[in-house]
Formats: sequence, C-alpha cells, structure tokens
Amino acid sequence: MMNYYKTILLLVGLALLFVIPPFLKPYYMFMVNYILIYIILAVGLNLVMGYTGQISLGNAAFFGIGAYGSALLSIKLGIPFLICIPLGGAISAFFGFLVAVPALRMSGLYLAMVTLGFGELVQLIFFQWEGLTRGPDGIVIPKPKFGSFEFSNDYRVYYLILITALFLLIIARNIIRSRTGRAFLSIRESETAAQSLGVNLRYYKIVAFVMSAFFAGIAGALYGAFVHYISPDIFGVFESISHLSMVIIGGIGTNLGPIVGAIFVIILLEVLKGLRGMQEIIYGIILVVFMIFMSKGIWGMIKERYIDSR
Amino acid sequence: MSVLSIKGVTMEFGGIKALSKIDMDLEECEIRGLIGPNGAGKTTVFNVITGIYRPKEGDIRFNGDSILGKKPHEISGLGIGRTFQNPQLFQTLTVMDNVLIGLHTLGKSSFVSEALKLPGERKEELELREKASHILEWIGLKEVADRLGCNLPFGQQKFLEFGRAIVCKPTLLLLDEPAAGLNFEEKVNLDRLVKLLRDEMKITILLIEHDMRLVMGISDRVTVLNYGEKIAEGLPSEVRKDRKVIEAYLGEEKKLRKPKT
Repeated sequence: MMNYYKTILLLVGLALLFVIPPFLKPYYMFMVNYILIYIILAVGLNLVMGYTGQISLGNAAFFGIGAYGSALLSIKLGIPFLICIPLGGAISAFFGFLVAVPALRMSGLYLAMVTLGFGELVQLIFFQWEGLTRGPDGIVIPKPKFGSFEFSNDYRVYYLILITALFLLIIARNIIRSRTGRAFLSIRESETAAQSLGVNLRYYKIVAFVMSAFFAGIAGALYGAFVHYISPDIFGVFESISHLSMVIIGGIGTNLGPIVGAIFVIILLEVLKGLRGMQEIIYGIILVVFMIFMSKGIWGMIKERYIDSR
Repeated sequence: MSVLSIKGVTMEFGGIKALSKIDMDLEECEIRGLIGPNGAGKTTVFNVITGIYRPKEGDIRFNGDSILGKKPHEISGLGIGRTFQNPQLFQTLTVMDNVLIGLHTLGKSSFVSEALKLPGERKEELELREKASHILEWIGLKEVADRLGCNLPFGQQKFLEFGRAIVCKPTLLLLDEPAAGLNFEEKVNLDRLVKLLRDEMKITILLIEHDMRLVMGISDRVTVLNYGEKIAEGLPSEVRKDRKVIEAYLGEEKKLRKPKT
C-alpha cells in the first residue's frame, strides 16, 4: 500500500516538474535551474562522501573542469554542445581518476588535504592558463543548439537540465541499490570487514570518486549552457564547501538528503541576499544551529524519526 | 594435500616476536581449535593468513598455492572467510544487506550494468538475495532481515557475522572467538552449526576459542600457542594432558581437567 502511494506521489511530482515551469516567472525559472544543477552536484558528492565515507574537498574543481571542458570543446572545436555535456562529464571523470589513484591511498584528514590542494591547483590553472581559459576574464559561452533548435532561454534549457538531472538521479539510485552500492557502504562501515569479504577497497573508492567527478562535470557543462559565462573565481574552495554543506544539511548518506540540502541551501542563500553584509553571518549561524539540533541533516532526521522507526 | 599449510611463519612488531616459526597444517574438513592465553598470537595467525599482516619469514599455502603477499580481498576471493573477535558488522545497514555484502565475490555485475539496470544485473541480484535469505533462515535471523545491524542483541550480531562469513561457502573459515558473549543456548546452537558446516558444506574450520568445553568438544585437533610459539598440537584429549599446556594455563589447570559433560 505504501509503495502504491509512493508511486502515485512520484508520478504526480514528475508530471508537475514537466508541466509547471512554463507558468513560472523568469526569476523562479532561473532559480529552479540553478537548484537542479546543485542537486546533481550534491547527489554526486554524496556517492563518495555519504556512501563510501571518503572526504572530498575538491568537488568544485570537477565542476569547473566540466564547465571549462565542455565550453572549450564546443567553442574551439565546434562540437555540438549536446555532445559536449557528456564529454564534459567524461573529462572530469578522467581527471577524477588521475587524482583518485594516488589520493585514495590516504584517508581521513590526509585525503581532505589532498583533495583541497587539488581544488586550489585547478582553480589556479583556470586563472593562469590564459591562452586556453582567458584567465580571470572568463569565457562567454554561446547558447547551445540542437539542430536548428536553440536553447535560447531558461525555459528551454530547463528541460535539458531536468532530463539530465533525472537520468543521473536514476543512475545514482540504481548504483546504491546494487552490488557496487553495497560495496561502497561496506567500506564506510568497516574497511576491515569489507576486505575480509572480498571487497577491493581501492577499486571501489576510485569508482565512487570518479562517479562523483562525472556528476560534477555534467553539472559544470549544464551550468555553462545555462549561465553562458564562466570564470575561475566561481570554482574555488568556498564552492566545494557549499556542495559539502548541502550534502550534510540535507542528510549525508541518505538518498533524498542531498536533494533536500541543495534546495534548502540555495533558497536560503537567495533569501539572505536581501540582507547585505549580514548574509554570511546569518548563513553561518543557521548552519551551526542546524548541525547542533539536526546533526543527521533534514532528511536524515525525518528518515530516522518517521520512516526507519516504523 | 592440506587445505592450509603454514610453514615457519614468523611475525614481528618492532622487534617483538608475535609469532615465531609457526607450523600448522589443516586437513580437509577438519575443525581445528587454536587456543592459548591472551596475547599468545592467535589473532595474529588469522591476520597473517588473511593478508592483513605480511610475515617476516615463512610461507602460507592454501590448497597448495602460496598466498603470501596477496591482498586481503584477494585472499577472501580465493575462499577464506573469517569473523572477528569484536564483531565487525556493518552497523547501519540491514541484516539482509550485511549478508548480501558477504556474497560480494559471487556477483559479477559491473557498475555500468548496475547503473543502467540491465536485465542480467536484475537476475543476478535476485539470485544473490535468494542465497542470502537461505542463510538467514539457517542461522535463525530471517525474521529480523530488515532490521539494522546495530539494533540486534549481541548474540544475534555474532550469528549475523558468522552468516555473513559463510554465505559464499568458503573452503576455509576462520572463527575468532565465536562463542564469546553468547549464552548457553546460543553456544549449543553455534556448536551445532559449526559441525554442520564441516559435515554438510565440507568447510575446513580454524577456531580460536576460550570456552574450553566448546573448543575441546568440537575440535578434531587442537593447536596451542603461548608467547607466539606453538607449544602443543594434537587430539583434544592429548593436549588436555600436556604439561606445557597446563603450565601455560597456570591457574586454569582445574578448568582444563574438568570432565566433558
């Protein structure tokens, strides 16, 4: 019976996602797109942090690599943007692999430092390699086209982002419910036990890391398609931290947590924009209060109180 | 040919010898007790076999092939299962998921086929679940399959860890104090299951245990360690009478001589 309601709820929700947007004001349409991109980022990061239990503080770098990679491929090589989106993910995944192989020999704080350093390094390259990235000036990205159809405004881009996001959410969910997902979880819970049951720790840590880089890369490509402009200052350590805070506030290691977290943090930051100067302070206070009273995150708490306890 | 053959294994931690020149051979379908006072090196033997430690000297052969230098997951994949002194359950996962992870090495699906939920993947998942339910029924935890590992009482946690280690039918099973913390009834059940493993599933078992009645009653042969050295080996009745063993267990002499009930 429960499943029946759940299915109906899901279908209605999906239908609304497809039907409502044309009726939204441009500002809200913009926000919805923005949120969807961050949902992809948070869900991807949750795979490595929430399920596999490995710290990553360089997620913004993969976001940036996807954004720059896809933009440059389409501008310099003239590859259609729709193809550049998966390519952006693939490039980012490739760099994720390069980092993961040496970095995941470490764990805990050491891994945090390595990924943090990687994030800084990548941002520096965006700034300094002016021949490729135009440095601090950033790149203007033309509106993506599909044949003669141009994703000329936020409403059109919305469907591109929505479908991609749904596709990635389904992938994440499938993985988590499979043998690979269980291997991730076993590593988080007890590496000793996991390896005694034949789980190749290094392999699965790398898979999780590369997947989160892939998700971030796709999000970066979509971000470029949607905002039409990228510059290095976006992809810094504060960006990485904000991805992290979405995962934690929503509920780390839960399926819906990162989605809830992304929606919550983006809306919160937007609402606080009105309070010039006070924004960071209030944001900080809210984060602290949340972590004290809701250490498992919004969805983590709801799940514990109302779902798992039944 | 012995299932497991340990030859001259020495293990040192910063100059302190945890094991010195240990020899041990396990025959097929044997239950071997491994006993000794605390700190004798029993768990170190397990960690050397499973590849967590690499011995300084000596060789370890499993079914005739050396497993020295292999990684723990590779050794597990060859068919050596183990449990831990302190249960290493996946605490926040369900009982079912705990057992399913025990079946990890039997699965063949790749993360790509899983991400896209290809038909072959679904079939494999169903088969794994069936195997897992079967084991849960066998160890008496089927009713609690959906509960989280951390919510089980201690005894059930021990049985779950046991089930997780045997679900993929290893050739050799290493049990590290399986009876510790179990009540009488649970111990009887454990005794029964371990014998069934040997007799019906043809699993060779190496068992560390402090409960003398259990270990002497269940083992075909017993090996005794003290300060990293093997001081005795033989039938339970022989070992029980061995002077060195009695000395090692000074103060526990009485307990050792207690007649079997």
